[in-house]
Amino acid sequence: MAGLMEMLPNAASLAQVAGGILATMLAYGVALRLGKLTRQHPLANPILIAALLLIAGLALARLPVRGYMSSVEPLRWLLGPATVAFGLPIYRQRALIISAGKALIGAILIGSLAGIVSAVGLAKLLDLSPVTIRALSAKSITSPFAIAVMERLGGPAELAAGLVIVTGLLGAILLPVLLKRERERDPESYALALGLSAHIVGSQHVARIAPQALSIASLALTLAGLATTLLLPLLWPWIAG
Amino acid sequence: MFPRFLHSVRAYLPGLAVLAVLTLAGWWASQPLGLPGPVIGLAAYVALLLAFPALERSTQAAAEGLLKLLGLLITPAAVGLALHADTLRSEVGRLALVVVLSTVATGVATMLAYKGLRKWLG
Repeated sequence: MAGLMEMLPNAASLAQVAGGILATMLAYGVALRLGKLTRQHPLANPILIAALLLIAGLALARLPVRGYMSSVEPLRWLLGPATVAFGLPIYRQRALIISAGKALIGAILIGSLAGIVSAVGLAKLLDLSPVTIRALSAKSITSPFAIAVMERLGGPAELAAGLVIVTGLLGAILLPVLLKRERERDPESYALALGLSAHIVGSQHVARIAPQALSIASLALTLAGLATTLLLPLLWPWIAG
Repeated sequence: MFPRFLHSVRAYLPGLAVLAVLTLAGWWASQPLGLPGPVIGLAAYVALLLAFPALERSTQAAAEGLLKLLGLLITPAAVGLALHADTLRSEVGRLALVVVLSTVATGVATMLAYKGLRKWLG
């Protein structure tokens, strides 16, 4: 037990760790129920709702956010293996990767590049702060990848994770309206666009609206995570410059 | 209850061990390769699955379980957004504009790229 205590950065007590994790599970459980009640409406995003509940709870109890963050550090250790676990769906979809082939991989690379360049370019044009620009560069990949890449490059992991969620919500609300005609005409392209730009929230939308194209959306979301992770270190001098 | 507990330990443990070792290996290789550790671990996991297909059965319970937990694992990071409240408050309008325009541009660019490449490559 003493060993575990030393591993926790701010020496949070075991009771704090248990309390933090239990509160997170409780908030997430409530958020999941809300998501089910609204049939997974994009705005009822469980991560967003759970985070808002926890922030409100911490404010009411006058507890510091930083203290909460260090108490739930064990959850963060699991994020690494959970990101590695994405290898399983990629492996299972190897037939789809091979059959859709070059066009799919090419589109995912172009889309990932468009995601980084449009966000960072616009942010620089509008003179946003350097820390926000760094976080925006990872906004169109799913949170575990965004957190991993920010930790590696020294960017703001929390801000990036938050923007990822907001991007998913907005993308899953706006793109279905804009691309409505494509939904019937070309469900594959539709699913690819949503999976790449609005990642998990976009894929959930595809699962409801065009389930036959769900595998394309989830493939787009994992491969875009990989592509962006490979592109960001190369573009980092421009992003952070 | 006890035998069931033992059964789920047997189902999850090998997979968790493999994923933990791959995470550590990725973390270790992250410095020289200049890439995030978990992503290196992911690539190694896919390579291992391709080389040893039997690994799918022994690791799937753990991998699927962790993927289902992802939302819960990310929630603390989203709470950390509150630490950036001041930055966010001062640029919220411009930030919203960037996110909306860039997200739409990304989706449309991806779709057009896929349509174009599919036609071009046959």
